[in-house]
Amino acid sequence: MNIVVCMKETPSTTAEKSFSPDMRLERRKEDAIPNPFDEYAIEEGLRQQEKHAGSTVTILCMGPATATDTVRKALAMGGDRGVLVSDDALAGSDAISTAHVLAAALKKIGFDLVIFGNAAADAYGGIVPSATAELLGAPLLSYASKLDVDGSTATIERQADIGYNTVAAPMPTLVSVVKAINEPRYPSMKGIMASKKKPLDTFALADLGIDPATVGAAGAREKALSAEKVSTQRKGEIFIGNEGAADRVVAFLVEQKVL
Amino acid sequence: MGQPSFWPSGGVIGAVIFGVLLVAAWVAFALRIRKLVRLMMLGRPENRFDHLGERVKYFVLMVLGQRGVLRDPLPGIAHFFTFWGFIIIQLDALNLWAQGFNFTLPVIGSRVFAVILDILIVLAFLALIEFGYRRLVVRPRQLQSTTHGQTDAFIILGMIMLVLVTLFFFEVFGYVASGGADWTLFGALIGPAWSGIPQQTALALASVFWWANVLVVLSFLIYIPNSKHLHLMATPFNVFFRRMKPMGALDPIENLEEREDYGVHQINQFTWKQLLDGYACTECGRCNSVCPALATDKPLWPKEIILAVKEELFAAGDVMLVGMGETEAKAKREPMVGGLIAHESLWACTNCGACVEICPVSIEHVQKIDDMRRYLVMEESDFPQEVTPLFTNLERNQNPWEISNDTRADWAKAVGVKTLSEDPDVEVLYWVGCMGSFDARNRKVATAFAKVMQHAHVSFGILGPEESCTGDPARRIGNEYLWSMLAQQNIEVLNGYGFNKGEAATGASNDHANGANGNGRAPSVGVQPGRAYNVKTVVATCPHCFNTIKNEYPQLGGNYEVIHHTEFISRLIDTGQLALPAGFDKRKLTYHDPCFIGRWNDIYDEPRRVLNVINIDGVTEMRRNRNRSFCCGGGGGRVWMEEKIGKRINNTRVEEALATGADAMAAACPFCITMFEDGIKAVDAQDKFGVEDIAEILARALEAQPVAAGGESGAAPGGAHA
Repeated sequence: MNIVVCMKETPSTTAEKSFSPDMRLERRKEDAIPNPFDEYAIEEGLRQQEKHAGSTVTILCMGPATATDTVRKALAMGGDRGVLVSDDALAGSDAISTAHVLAAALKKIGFDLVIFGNAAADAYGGIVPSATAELLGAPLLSYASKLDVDGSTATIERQADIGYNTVAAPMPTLVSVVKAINEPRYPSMKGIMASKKKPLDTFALADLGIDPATVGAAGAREKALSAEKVSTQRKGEIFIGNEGAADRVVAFLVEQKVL
Repeated sequence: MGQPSFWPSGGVIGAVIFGVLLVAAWVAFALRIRKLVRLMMLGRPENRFDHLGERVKYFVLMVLGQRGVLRDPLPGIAHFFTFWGFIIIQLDALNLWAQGFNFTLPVIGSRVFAVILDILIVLAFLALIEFGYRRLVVRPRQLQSTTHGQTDAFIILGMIMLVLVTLFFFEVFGYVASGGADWTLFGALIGPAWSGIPQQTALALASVFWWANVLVVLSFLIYIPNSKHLHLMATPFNVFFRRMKPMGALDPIENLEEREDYGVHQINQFTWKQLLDGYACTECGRCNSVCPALATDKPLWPKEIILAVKEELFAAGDVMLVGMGETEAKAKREPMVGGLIAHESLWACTNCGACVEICPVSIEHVQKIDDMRRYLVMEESDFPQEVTPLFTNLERNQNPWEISNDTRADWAKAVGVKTLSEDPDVEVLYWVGCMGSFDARNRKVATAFAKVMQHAHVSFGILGPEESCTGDPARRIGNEYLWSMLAQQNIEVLNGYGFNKGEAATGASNDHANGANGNGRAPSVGVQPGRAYNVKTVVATCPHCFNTIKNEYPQLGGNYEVIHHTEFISRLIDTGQLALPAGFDKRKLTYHDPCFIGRWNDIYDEPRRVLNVINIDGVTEMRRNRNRSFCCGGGGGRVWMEEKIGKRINNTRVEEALATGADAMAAACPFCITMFEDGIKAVDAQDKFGVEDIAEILARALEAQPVAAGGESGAAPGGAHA
């Protein structure tokens, strides 16, 4: 089985965020990490590989040229090779452009199973998996909290408010996963050392036959208008002492409709 | 060389038989020793031939002087006499063997020697009775083994007893048979009572006891290296080759980035010295008796770890010796880690060092445990799940939490402390550590210590966002790679501000063994008279930061003058730079020794000196204090793991503190404070008992009762002691 995991490079969740005048997130290389949601996708790809002998796992990433380090970080967890699509013309791409690029790359690489994290921790658009599936004409099993591959069928469980749905699709298929699906592994030293020697190809737009004018800032149909910092000022209320504190906490929780 | 007055082996034929037995026993002995040495040399190389002078000194003290065992007085004295009795009897055995060939040795055959010998026989005899009594009647917990029975112990006690008894009767009847010519103390005292028996009978009896004695001694020669009493031979070597590098440092993994295996999961990945530890273990069980994990019902028996190393060496090592490939050897046996040594045992260790400290034969348990953790973490990525976010956060945020490191100096704004990037022109760097920087409870400690330094007019700054976690938790959990990344970052920053003292300056102090096993303190760094500290000193409030910067950063070329804040405060008081209101604190106060300044770095007196000034009655000691202190449960990365098995260690220690009747406990470590805050709540004592850092008690005193500080005002040194 040819497994491809799509991974985005994002800034560390704790990194100070700043934006350029045209509202693009300014990325510092030292803050770059694999998108935390995608770690679950990578882990799931590796677990499927362990279950299905003879499978390969490819990490596919679109990002700046320096993202090779981030792809290697993902490869430290496991997997056979990395593919980075990088081109100066890609800067400022919106979600649809990203989906175009990923679809083209996936066609070039070939796949039986493509796994995505359900969103990226920086922009949180959450539409790249479905847009990519649409462009490839392949099914998408979204928000999977469990994945089973049996012969030519992939089956997932999708958590809903009242229970879960079991959904199946024929392969090749795309799957997006949620955090409940697994516990991502911490790379061993062996994995880190091995990742340095794994093949990592870089594709430019020309390699994928994509017209630079249709992607990047030039081809973007979405535009960020502003970005505001979330106030982290917490309105904490402290209840002290044994007398009455419990009652006040309960009253507060009822008031907040927690209870 | 003289001739004995009679031939105890019974003439030429006897001498020939004896000669054959003597050679056979020695050959068997030599073959066994050769095998043991070859097994030991399966281990990795390690230089333990440094500091030869000190090694000899320590050897004399511990082996010949028996100082280690003497810490436990009654069995200690008994051991002292058994040891010396054994040595003298061995010398006498040479003479007995010579007599078998009808000649005697000089000196050993003399009257002076005979007197010493007989006195020691009596003392050793009494000692054996004490040992038997201890095993049969007292039965201390540490002598109960989970894997080994008592049989070995009684065989050896019985055999030593036999040697003494046969020697005694040989001397008595030899005296009678020779008509007093073979003078011995026993002979002279007891011989006359037997003078009535015919000389022939006396001669025969002397000969019988002579034969009994030499046969027992020769069987000893074969039995000892094949039994647990191998320690009789290995211990002196183990003590000689003891650790001379700083006790608080873990040894690094050489060529971390180039190698293919990490840590230890196969017996030949230990160093030869670590394997020798297995031979040297006497199974006395002192380590088990002091282990905080075992005391709270966790599956960690430090002694059994050492015995497992020996057992594995005999089993797996044997296969390796006959030349079978390692892979085959591995396939034939279950792995050591996960087999003889359970994962839970390795994760239960708090790295408190109580086992290492108390071991009378210089065994190093903690390094082995952490070596095996390294294997689990770096090769298998197999560790308690709650550690994953710790590692990830240390990598990404340079602190244990999902908090941006940019906010590291936020606490300092309220007290007006500057970072070195704002003002590099300071004498002292306060290394705050992650707990002091981010943890709400320990920020109070950092704030208090900053106030104390401000009060004493110390010129100091902090690194703020330029400070990263020192890597200590990562290293202790087994993630050497993460430790080395964090350490290198910190070293770069510290060097950038000119704190590195260079190789030469620290070689002496850092290579010096400090005190575990009773070797006294490392010499304190030289400070000019009248000054409390040198320019470019690093002061840490966290013993874990302190230990790794001081003892482990030199492994990566980072040599700094680092002191713990309790030492620093003590020096400020000594020089008069800080004048304290004596007896300000009126509470009944106990003090908990943090393992990483106490046992691993020998800082016991300074915290007490400070508390004895500031508290009206001084420190009320807990049952276990100083080098016998009982861990808070937070070391060795344990503070980041859940404690699911057995009783909680922190609660146990809090109960011990409460038993002193104290109102509060002083501590000097952020992990201890965190663990005890939890423990105090767990035992529901928060209304009557609290834990505070020494710096907090001090800051409160200084605020409430401002005293003219030293420095410009020039208060007399020690003025506050009045």
